[in-house]
Amino acid sequence: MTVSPDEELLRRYLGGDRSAFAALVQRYQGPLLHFVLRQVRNQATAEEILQEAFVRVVLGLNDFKRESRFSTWLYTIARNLCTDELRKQKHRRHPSLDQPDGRRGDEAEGPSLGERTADRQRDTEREATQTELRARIEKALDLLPDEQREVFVLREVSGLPFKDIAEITGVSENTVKSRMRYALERLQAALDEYQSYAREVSDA
Amino acid sequence: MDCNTAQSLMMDELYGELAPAESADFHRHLSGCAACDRDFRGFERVRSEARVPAIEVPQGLTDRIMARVDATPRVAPLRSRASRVLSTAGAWAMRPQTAMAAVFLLMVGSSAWLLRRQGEGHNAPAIASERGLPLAADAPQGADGDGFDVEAARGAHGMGGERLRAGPAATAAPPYPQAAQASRKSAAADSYTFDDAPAAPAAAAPAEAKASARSEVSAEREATGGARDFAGAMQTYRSGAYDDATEQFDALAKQGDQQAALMAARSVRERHGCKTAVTRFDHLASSSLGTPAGNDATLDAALCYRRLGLIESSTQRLQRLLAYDGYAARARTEIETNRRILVARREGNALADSASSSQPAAAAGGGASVHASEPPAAKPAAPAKSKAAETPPALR
Repeated sequence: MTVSPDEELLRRYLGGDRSAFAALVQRYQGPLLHFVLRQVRNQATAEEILQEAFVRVVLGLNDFKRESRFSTWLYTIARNLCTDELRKQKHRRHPSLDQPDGRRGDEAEGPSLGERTADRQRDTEREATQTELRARIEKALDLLPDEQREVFVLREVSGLPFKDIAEITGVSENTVKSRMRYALERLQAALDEYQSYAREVSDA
Repeated sequence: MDCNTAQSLMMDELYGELAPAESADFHRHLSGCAACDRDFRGFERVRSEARVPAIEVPQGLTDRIMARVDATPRVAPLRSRASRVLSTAGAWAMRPQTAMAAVFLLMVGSSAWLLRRQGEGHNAPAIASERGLPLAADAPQGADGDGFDVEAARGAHGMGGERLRAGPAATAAPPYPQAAQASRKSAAADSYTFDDAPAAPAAAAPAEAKASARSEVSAEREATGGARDFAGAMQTYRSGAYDDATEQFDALAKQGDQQAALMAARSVRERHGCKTAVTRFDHLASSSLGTPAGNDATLDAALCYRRLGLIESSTQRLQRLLAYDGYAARARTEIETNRRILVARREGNALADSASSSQPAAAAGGGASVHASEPPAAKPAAPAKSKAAETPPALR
């Protein structure tokens, strides 16, 4: 069974095949949700943005005839919605000074990303190490400058080529690649730090 | 390969974006360069050890998304496609003599044809499409419906009606804003002055359709529950209530929605024409430089300038789009159309001038610069904006 390219699914949807669009949603919702969640850091908001993004795809379908890929278009819509949302949040509230990580105020709702990706209670020691590592990576990702994290997620999670990322983020390919490099270097530093810490602990 | 090159290609190779030959060169360099090799291996290690923790997709997300999608109004794309084909065809057919004749015929036959068209809905070809008719309840034309339009044709022949009729032209190269006004006043019966957004077509349109579209909007809102603001505004736009649509989109734009800002500008264009809307497009183009919304706005601005007869301003904006992959091909096509318009305009001027034999022909030869016919006064605030707009995106 061959996999239909995006454009064909869109064509079928335009011809009345609702399931074709559902297939498109299934294809993209995972990586898109990840991308959005890493920016807005809130499950409910992220889902709302995802829904709105696909709605805008439908609304703009008749006008979508550019040379860009569908995925580029979809991510661009989602990215714009994230930007709008973050700008809205910035205007609505001041950064919370009493929160340990004072950068975002939306953590009150639902478990944090770190907690969502692991269940600490049932871990064996080895798993505990893995859990700790994952938590560290999460933290390092979270501490990346927005524009570096964005490129990193688009490349590593969504698997988009640098050319597409450049189009989505509106900067040159060279800028994208240098941001990617900076992101990797920071993660490398966090990894090195963790590994020397882990060594200390096991030596003790 | 030297270190500088290897370093600059490192990310490409890391993610498999290098062609085989280049990749081989790269690895050959690594085998002889400890520093680059160490860098590259380090990156490979990070990628494999610092795997990004996966995020689970919540149950039923697809269903929830599809529920919203199902509730979203869709429109048949037929008109857009037909318009596009005919726009291209129209542009290609636009050689000076045939274009002149065609425009003359169109003008003569236009009124009766337009009145007939109002009841036809989606079948009208783009060549005579009247953007001033607000009840075209179909997909927003965006920047696509204007590939070839009559305003451009008029511009090509030195403000149309005046030249084609008998008598010498009043001036050799009139400043365009003034000329536009003069031709508009004297050609009151000319139904192509749709930049005036005459109330007549709007009023003549069946009130019924508008009413049913409105009730659709409120039903839509109830059905989906809560404010589906953007979708609601789009529905308002499609129903032809452009003033309302402008208001709704502006409200969203105030909250930072750039796509809404673009749609607001388009609503203004539908309601009040290019002369009013072009400022909005320019503003959005420069404030959202490099983003899709900004690029769309740049394209819309360019097409509006063309419609206003300001070809050089139009081309200026199109040239900015050449840097963006998704827009370059379109920009090139439109720049070529502009070039043809200027050529036709020059030849039209030459013909009219020789008929009146009063002033020296304006650059009738092929060697003249295409910018000769557009006086500096005709650039509304373009210089300051274009400077800012030409700042490379990397500085953002």
